[in-house]
Amino acid sequence: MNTTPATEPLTMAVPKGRLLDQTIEFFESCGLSFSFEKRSLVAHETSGLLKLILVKNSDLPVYVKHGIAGMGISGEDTLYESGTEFYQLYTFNFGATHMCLCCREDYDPSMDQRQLAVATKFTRFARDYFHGQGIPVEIIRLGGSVELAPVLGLAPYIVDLVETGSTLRANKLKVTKTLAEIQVRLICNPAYYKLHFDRINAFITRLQGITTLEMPKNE
Amino acid sequence: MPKKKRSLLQIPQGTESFYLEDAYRHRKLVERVTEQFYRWGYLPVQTPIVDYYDSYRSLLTENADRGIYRLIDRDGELLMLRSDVTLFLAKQMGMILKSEELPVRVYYADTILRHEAADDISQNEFFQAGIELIGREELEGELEVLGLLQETLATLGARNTVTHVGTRKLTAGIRARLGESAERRLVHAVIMRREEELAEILADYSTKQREAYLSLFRYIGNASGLRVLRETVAKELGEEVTSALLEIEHVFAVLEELNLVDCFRVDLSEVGNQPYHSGMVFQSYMHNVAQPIASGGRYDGLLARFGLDAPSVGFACMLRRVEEQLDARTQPGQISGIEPFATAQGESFVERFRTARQARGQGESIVL
Repeated sequence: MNTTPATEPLTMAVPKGRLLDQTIEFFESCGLSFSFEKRSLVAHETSGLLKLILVKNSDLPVYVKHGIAGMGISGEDTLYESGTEFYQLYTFNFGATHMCLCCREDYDPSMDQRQLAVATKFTRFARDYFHGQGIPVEIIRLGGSVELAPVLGLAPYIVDLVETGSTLRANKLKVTKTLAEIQVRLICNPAYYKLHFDRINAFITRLQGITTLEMPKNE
Repeated sequence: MPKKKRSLLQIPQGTESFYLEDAYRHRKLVERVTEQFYRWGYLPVQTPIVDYYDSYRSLLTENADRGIYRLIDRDGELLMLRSDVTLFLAKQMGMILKSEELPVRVYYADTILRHEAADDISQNEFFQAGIELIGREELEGELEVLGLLQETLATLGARNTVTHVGTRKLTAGIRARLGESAERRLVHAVIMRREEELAEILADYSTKQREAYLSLFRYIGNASGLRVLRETVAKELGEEVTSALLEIEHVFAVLEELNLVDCFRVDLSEVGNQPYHSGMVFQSYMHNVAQPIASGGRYDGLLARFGLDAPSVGFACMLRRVEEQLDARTQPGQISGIEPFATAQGESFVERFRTARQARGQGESIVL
């Protein structure tokens, strides 16, 4: 078969930050260890199976879509906002969180206008969710610190990821409704999968083996 | 930025310009590919760049429909720009061909226009070169097209390619039982390899049948593996599915006889992403290219929509995606002439002109 040499490592984009630490920890439990060069954004798995490329979370789907990295690890929230469909090959048992509708603790829902005003980073998700429910919605796009919007009076509601709820409590906000459970997925560019399916499947089997042995409830 | 300058710098989404060496190489590759098509007995067709939108509306997927550029003619009719040569060609052929003329072999090499998001540079699908074999119902039609596809990729100098072959016939029974809407969802789930969604769509089937379908749709491999799988699922999925799988096995047996089988894989998640696909379908992949470089298959009912009830099989090669990966200096059969031109020597213009004329007579490219 005239495809990539089997010696070339599989490429995977991983988001910098919290998910990176959890990913490395999980991979280590599968017997995969990585050598990071100082300040480098590329890491190699010591046996040559994987090459990790560290990217900004929101840019990750772009790198995988364009085939710069064949695979990637990403939350469903980021995937949804990218608007791109990927193969979703595996669900990790770490990093799960919730997409929630939140408002001030003292907010009275009877104050709601006919059209809901929502501030969020997740504009595509919010629009599709409320339209799916038949609710007209005004979306205000924010880049960060979304919890300030209800506090400062920009919008009564926010749609944001909630993990422990401590940021909400610190800003005197509460969850009104959980809109979706968000999980962390291993994604793959479909064309990349077709060219490397046997090695990718073997890699997934290795991950599943670990999950089955150690964490049977989550997979 | 001043408005005038911005309008000069912007390029409309879904369009492309390329120049000089790139354009020369593109034209040479098109020449080479179309010459190849001709040697296989295919004649050229030229489709219009615009046509009436209503003619194609029901044949467009939701995504394809979103990407189309539409315009209104002077009589108020809604037109669309050519976004997929196959559709425009089907209408032309459906209207002009007569059944006694079949089989007919045609080729095309044309630009297409479709909207793509600003960040969607991965598509680069602005030029299609392809063929249609009209009026050949037997599997020899598929074999001819697959053979020509493989030679076309070789002619282009595309290395590290593999073509995955599947069939839409696997979902025909599901359409009959669950309806067209369920089949559309199923086709999308199969293509995206979403097993949970597949299991949900197939909830009406028995556990054994569901598992049999899932094992089929996840299969990628060779023909001998397919034979084992067919024998396993035959009892659960019946005659229609078995016969579809036997067709693929037959095609692979012939490809093996032709020493071509190493360039192909059986992939039953290839079920065709167009609503008009009806039989065997395939997509070609190339190392370092993030999208398929060619796709095609059988669409026996498509021409009937335009007046000619004739089977049809063909492929389109996304030439620009391949070109980006080619290095003229290293590819076999490299394209001559994109090295720097020689300059004619001589004291006067007349002398240089004569020297150049002589050099050109010997096949060289030379500037005055």
